[in-house]
Amino acid sequence: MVRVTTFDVPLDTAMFSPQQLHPWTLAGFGMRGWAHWLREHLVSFPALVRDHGTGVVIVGIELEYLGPLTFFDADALQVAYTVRVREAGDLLRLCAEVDARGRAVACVRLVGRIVRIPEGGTLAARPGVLPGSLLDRFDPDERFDGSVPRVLGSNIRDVSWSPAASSALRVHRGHCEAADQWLFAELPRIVADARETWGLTAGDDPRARVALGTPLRRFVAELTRPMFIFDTATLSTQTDHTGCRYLHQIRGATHTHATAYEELGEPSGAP
Amino acid sequence: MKVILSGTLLRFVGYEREIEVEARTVGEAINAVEARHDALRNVLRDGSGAVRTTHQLFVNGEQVGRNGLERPVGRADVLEVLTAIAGG
Repeated sequence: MVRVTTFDVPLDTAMFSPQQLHPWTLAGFGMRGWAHWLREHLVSFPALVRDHGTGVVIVGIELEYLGPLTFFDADALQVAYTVRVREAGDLLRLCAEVDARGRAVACVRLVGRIVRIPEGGTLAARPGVLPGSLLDRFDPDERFDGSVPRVLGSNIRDVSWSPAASSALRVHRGHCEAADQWLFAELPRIVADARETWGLTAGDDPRARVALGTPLRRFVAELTRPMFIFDTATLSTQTDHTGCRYLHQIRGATHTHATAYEELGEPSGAP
Repeated sequence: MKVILSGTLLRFVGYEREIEVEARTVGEAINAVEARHDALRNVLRDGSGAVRTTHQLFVNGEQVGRNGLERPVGRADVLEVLTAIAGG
């Protein structure tokens, strides 16, 4: 049986724009849910790192808005969280389903890579597997085998992209987590800022109004190489002919750190 | 020569990203940085004194193994100490 951890999140205005639940708030449920699930079913998050020398680095993100939601539509959100582990113990699939008043409004799906942390001073790590004592506590239904499909696929291959903007990016402390490594949940904010900056400077291009005034429907990203505090990179943004889709690439001097796809529009489940 | 540190190590060197040192080998360069920032040693090296496997050394962009501390370096060389990944 797949175990589900549920928790309520009372709404506050900082979680929203006038259009929707902020994507970074939604992405944050991916991390918050992981902490809830861990504490309920394995060990607390601090104990996972401190006592088991184990952490998780998120390498794939999918955010999807399923139904309309504004600040006044509910008093609280209900998050249902599940975790699946690859048989080898090296990969996790994390899923947060978000409801408001019994109605599905959004979901977060993450792919997490297990890392082992040999010392706690820096939390520097290397790829690894879950300790057997923890892996054994997953239910058979919570295990999967084989490869995990890439989160970026046909949604970016079948689009004719045109360059929109390029800007310098520096990772600041506010983008980082406890290891001074960038936090995946900040990525939707970073690329949304780039899109909006393009929209504000795109003159009478009709796509600019779409870029500035349309809610996010879907966000997908692959994080291929971590960035750390004060690292720099170039953020390149491309868009399609409608201005509803954006492809962002964050590249350092020698490597691509992340590729992110934004799709704007009303929620996929909206009438 | 120049030693460049980044990532999780920065707070152990007072956020000094680039440090000029006098050194004839990679090991001497690291020793010189540790002499200025003694908090670095415990996080960069394991109990045997070897550079931890979670950190990687590059001289002029070319990776040198953990056993590359004897590698000679010159004044114009750049040693980078990188953290590949951290656990969160």
